[in-house]
Amino acid sequence: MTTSQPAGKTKRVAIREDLFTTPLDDLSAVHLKGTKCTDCGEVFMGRTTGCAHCGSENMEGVVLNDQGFLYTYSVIEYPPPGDYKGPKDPFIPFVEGLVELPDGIRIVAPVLECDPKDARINMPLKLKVYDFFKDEEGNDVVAFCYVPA
Amino acid sequence: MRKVAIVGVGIHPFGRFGEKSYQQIGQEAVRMALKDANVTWKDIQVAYLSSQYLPSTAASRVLKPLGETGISLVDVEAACASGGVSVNIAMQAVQAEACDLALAVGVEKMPRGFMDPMMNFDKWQVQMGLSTNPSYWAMSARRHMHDYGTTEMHLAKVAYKNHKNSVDNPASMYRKAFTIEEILASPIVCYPIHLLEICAPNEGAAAIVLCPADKAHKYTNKPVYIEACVHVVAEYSSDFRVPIESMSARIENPSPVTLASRKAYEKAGAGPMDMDLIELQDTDAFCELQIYENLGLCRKGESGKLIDEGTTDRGGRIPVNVSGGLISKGEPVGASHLGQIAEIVYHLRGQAEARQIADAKIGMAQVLGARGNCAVTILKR
Repeated sequence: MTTSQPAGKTKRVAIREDLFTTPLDDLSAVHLKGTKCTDCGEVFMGRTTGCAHCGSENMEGVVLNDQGFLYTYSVIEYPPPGDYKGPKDPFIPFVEGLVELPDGIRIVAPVLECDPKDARINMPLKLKVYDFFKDEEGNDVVAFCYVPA
Repeated sequence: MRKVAIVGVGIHPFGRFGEKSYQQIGQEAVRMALKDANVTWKDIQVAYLSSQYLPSTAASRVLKPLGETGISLVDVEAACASGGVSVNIAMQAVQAEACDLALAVGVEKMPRGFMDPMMNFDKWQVQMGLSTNPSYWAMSARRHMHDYGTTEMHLAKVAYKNHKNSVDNPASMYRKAFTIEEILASPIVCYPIHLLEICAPNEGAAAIVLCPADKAHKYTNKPVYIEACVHVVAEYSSDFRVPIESMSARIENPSPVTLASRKAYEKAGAGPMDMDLIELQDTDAFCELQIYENLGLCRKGESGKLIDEGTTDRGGRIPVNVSGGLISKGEPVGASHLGQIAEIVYHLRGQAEARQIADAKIGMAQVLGARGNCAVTILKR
């Protein structure tokens, strides 16, 4: 996991390498990183060295737009399988969305701060980067979600 | 290119069998197929075993006890399409004249409970709670409902049909009919998908014996011919089921089901409406609807209308999943496509008993799974 400059006493690490812009000190200023194929324009999450659409290796790093809308979604009613780090006791149902960004990509992400009953296809959303859980070394692990805009 | 015939089939019922080993389950299906083809294990020249969850060297562990003859025994995996790959390469071995008698067998004994999420997802996805397989099917269903007016009732009708069909299938795990009300009253797994609309992972095996068509008469007087056997993995941004981290908003490629079936139709010289019966991937009831569209049984968005019209009922124009489908049979992954093929062979031979589709001449089997692995096989008598 990528480490950052400590902010105060807390050390922050990203939940996935190469996904967040750095530094992680001020989370409100952190965005998602992407990679764009300069030949066909397709955009991918995080870092990729090749284009899954056209096969080109001409890629450039980009920063993904914070704003998007809900293309479709599911409501997760039961604790997801595996080592889920969100609220489990009790489990809090949440919206799992496919969020469309103007960059031309749709990202699977939790849609939080949203009652599942209020979720609607096409609702406007914005990125939220936040301290999600503490890892075994006591670092804050930073994750992302979208919230109603 | 040699034409390839199926001259023997065997199936071990799908279900849960406690302490019965996967070796026993697999061997029973193989012995049944060998007997059906009037051959012994020593006659087999190459064998391919498809499975997703069995340990390494499963082919050897299942087949060597039948006779350690020194032939090539190969393990094959391609998620839910594993069986399609074992049939495809067994067929190619015969076509290439590398052998004159081949076996393809699918065997599975799946662990109980949820599939291990690390089989399908990366650590960050599991930690963030994005590891619920059915949620991806549900997202796809919800968008389809938004775009085309597909309803919960359409899904329920698919499940109703398949459960009803399963009553006549002794090889099916569940053989109980349910009313529409019972289906819609069953717990929601992930809206709009209810518990009685979803398949269970389980155990089972199915096997086929293949040979060149001009030698089939040595083994059976009811050969069935493989007109096409195609395996693909989804193109870019074309498959929305399991699992994805993102899709393109600019590019939409045809589904892997469309890709595989188009190739299969071309090879077979037959189209979707020519099929006398179809066995397809109903992982959940919405999946079946989407596959109607992807196979070309109807236009995009019109699958609800197709199920409303009864076209895919047992008595309809194109019976789909007369076996009961995965919703009733369960899905022992590696065996699933082989089981579909066995079912179609029985119909083409007039041996499908209470399920028999009258005068069936041509049938299609289709499976779809993780990463967009898809296989389509077309059989003719």
